[in-house]
Amino acid sequence: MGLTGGDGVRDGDLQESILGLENLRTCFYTQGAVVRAVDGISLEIRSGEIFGLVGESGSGKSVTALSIMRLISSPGEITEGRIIFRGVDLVELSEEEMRRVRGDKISMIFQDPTAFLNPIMKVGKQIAEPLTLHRGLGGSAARSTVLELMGLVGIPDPEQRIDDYPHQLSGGMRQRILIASALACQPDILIADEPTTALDVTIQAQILDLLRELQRELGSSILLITHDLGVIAEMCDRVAVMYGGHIMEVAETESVLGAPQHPYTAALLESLPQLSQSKERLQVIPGNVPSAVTPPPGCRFHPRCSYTEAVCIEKMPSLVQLADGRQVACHRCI
Amino acid sequence: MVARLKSRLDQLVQSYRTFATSRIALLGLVFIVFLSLVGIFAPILAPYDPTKLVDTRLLPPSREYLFGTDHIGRDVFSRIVYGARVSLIAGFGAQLLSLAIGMPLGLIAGFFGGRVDHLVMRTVDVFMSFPYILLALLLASILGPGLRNVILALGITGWTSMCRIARVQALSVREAAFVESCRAIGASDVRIIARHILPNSLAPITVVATLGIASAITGEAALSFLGMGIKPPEPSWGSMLSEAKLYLYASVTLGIFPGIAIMMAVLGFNLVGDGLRDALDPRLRRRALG
Amino acid sequence: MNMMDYVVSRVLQGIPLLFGITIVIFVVLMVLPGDPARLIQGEHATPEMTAYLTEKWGLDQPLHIRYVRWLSGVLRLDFGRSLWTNRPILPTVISHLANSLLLGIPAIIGGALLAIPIGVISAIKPNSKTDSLSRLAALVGLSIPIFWTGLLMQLFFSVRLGVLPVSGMAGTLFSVERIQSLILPVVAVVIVGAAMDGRVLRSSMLEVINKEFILTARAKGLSMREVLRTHALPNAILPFFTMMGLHMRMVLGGLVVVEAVFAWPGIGLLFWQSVSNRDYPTVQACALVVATGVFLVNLLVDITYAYLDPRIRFAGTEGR
Repeated sequence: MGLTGGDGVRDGDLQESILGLENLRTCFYTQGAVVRAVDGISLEIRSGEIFGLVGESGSGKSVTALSIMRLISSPGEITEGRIIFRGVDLVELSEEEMRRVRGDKISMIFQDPTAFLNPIMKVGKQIAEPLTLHRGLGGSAARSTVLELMGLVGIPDPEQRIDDYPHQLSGGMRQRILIASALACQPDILIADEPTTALDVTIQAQILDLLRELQRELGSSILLITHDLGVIAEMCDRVAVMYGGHIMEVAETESVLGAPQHPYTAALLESLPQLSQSKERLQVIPGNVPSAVTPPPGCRFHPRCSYTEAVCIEKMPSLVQLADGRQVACHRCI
Repeated sequence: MVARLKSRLDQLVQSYRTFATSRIALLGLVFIVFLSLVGIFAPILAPYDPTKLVDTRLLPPSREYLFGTDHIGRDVFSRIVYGARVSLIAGFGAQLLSLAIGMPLGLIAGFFGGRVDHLVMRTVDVFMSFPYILLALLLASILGPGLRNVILALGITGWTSMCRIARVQALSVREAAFVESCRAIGASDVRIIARHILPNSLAPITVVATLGIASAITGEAALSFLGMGIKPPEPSWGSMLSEAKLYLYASVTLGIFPGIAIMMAVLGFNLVGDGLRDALDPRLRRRALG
Repeated sequence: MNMMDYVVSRVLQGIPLLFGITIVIFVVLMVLPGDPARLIQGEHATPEMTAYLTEKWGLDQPLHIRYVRWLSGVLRLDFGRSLWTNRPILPTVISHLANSLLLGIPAIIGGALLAIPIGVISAIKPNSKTDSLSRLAALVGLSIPIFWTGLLMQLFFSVRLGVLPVSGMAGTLFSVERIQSLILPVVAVVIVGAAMDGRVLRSSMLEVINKEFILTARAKGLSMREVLRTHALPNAILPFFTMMGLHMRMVLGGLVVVEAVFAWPGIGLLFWQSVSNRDYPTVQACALVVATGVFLVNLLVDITYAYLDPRIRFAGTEGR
């Protein structure tokens, strides 16, 4: 068994785990039904890496992100599992202790910068909020830090813009404001939930470049959530593929995209036009995303999988580490 | 067509369920039904003639005079019972008049737009330049006292909110695809308004009308309280309160029962209106209609 | 910023409206039944006196002449003399208006302050017990006739306990007596105001609390309390200002029943008495002052709104 081979040895301390999810389960209680949006996932994000979490909408990516932030609100709840950040289980923290983590150690940016910015607060003030809260910065000290941050995220004329309101800026600029405010306290982890989905294609590339640049400069880890494999290919060191609240495959980006082991990952890649140029027609994964209320038994993907066997219907496969270090949850790969 | 009818039916059933499960709204309905029954069966329920003197003045409540006697010796209970008639008739009547004025004006303004809309809305502006009650007061004073004139005064002054909601409805439906197609097949304007815009506007209009009854009932009580509405000896809860005010030191009960009666009636319609709003149109709930 | 242009154009639009209103009021009053010249003499009316007064007040002149005469007076800020008291009308109207404001403004502020916690608590936990209860309480508050609350408070605080005056406006401005005589009428108005404001605030808070930027604020580590205070409330307060405008219009005469219950010499009371007494010139003056006041309040609300909402204030500088 070559299972002990790669793990932890190759890059030593650089690869130290900074955030670990252990069997995390988040449920929503709606009108008598329980929806397991995140159904017992385990992940590990290492220091200084860009980790991608990819999946179709409804796969549980965003709920995972909000669970890490402990921002799941009623009728949802983290029902099981641990979220280990620097040796501390975030699930066990009081709300007060968790508040000190949010925006300082772990921060988050969201999909639509227009909706996620307060329309009647000056952007400078919105960037300064975490500084005031976690660093006690006020007045001119906060202002000069905000100006610095605005420059860092590539906003031209920060002095001109600091007293603007969100609607006076373009979409790309608004996303830069959100990024500046998320990075204000130099967090260990930045969670970016579909940060470019709401933006124009040209702006998307700029924002992604900016994120990568800032990650290098500040040394933060980034958890990048997206449905776009192109973004993953361009940005991420490692990637986890999520489906129906489960993790299907985790590995280095090249190996996942280059030689997918899980049938779902493979199907997802097939449906991607740029990466499957040889194909005449765009392949679409047959079937629908499984119902979250009554998920199929066994492997969540079996109704749509072309390799389904009896065992796939009976038993849920667990995430297993393969010889090359990647983890796959599929009966075929064991 | 069948599908549309079915979805419409489903909606109605859903609305009914929402309304029926709202205990608060049902409480309002109970109030309204109770007061309506009291009004209808007033001659049976009332032990005395509400306008006649029956005993010594300012008697406290007793078995003989359930709510006591008033400042000249009439039976307060009988006056309250007959007051339900006056109050409900005034509320419904005034709101019906407001509906008859406001709804067509609003629908026409919204449907035709342009100059007609401008004219109607400026008229609304003039009416809204005064507090509702002042205009009603002025009109009531011109028309003189009496139930019919109170209804006229309140109805003529209270149509603006109905007009505005009907206009908004007509505006929003006007652009809908099915109205376009009706035009295309040559339906007349009147037909489009009557067959398509009106039915689609019914839900919010019902809500506003129900709440409007509540404010008309308050209006009648207020006018009568100010001596510009129903004049004694005719029984009106509002004028009973103004009499009670004169005998504040002599009798406590005189000022209590008419007030409870007014509150029950107004609260009943407000509760039902609120419940209807939640049941018929969840979108309306979010718009702050107050 | 062309706020000034906006204000000027609004005022220019308002002039024809006010002009139209004066004509409507004038015509409406002419159809008021009852001859003031006779009414004013009470039971001992003589035909000679009636004829004398009719001529003196110009009641025998044609309508348009009387209107022009009245309007030219108004433009010189001369509203004439009251038929009832023979005092100049303008000072009377102004002092009654001031009294209405003295009653109304503290009541509006009190109602709003009371509504904020109610609306916020209701909105944080929608459909909870607290929420249902406060919604019901707000509806009850809206449904109780304001003159009845007044009456009940008089019964309890003045007749029963004897701690506050029954009615009337006592003392000089800022004197203890004046404040005492203000308490009951203000509270009566506060109850209705708080009920209305609470309902509006609840629905606008509910809307804001589910907005995405609230999540951003929480992700920054702000406590729920701070999120409510610095993000939710300022956004939810905007519709609240429309409500404040509505209340201000209410104060301009709409409180007539409260003023009647408490014999508070406000503009509503003056209007009511003048209508009862067929004191046309005073009614006309009241109506014009009320309409002008409503117009100014509307203008003020719009300006405040624009000032508070940068999206309106900077309209035209979008996405530069």
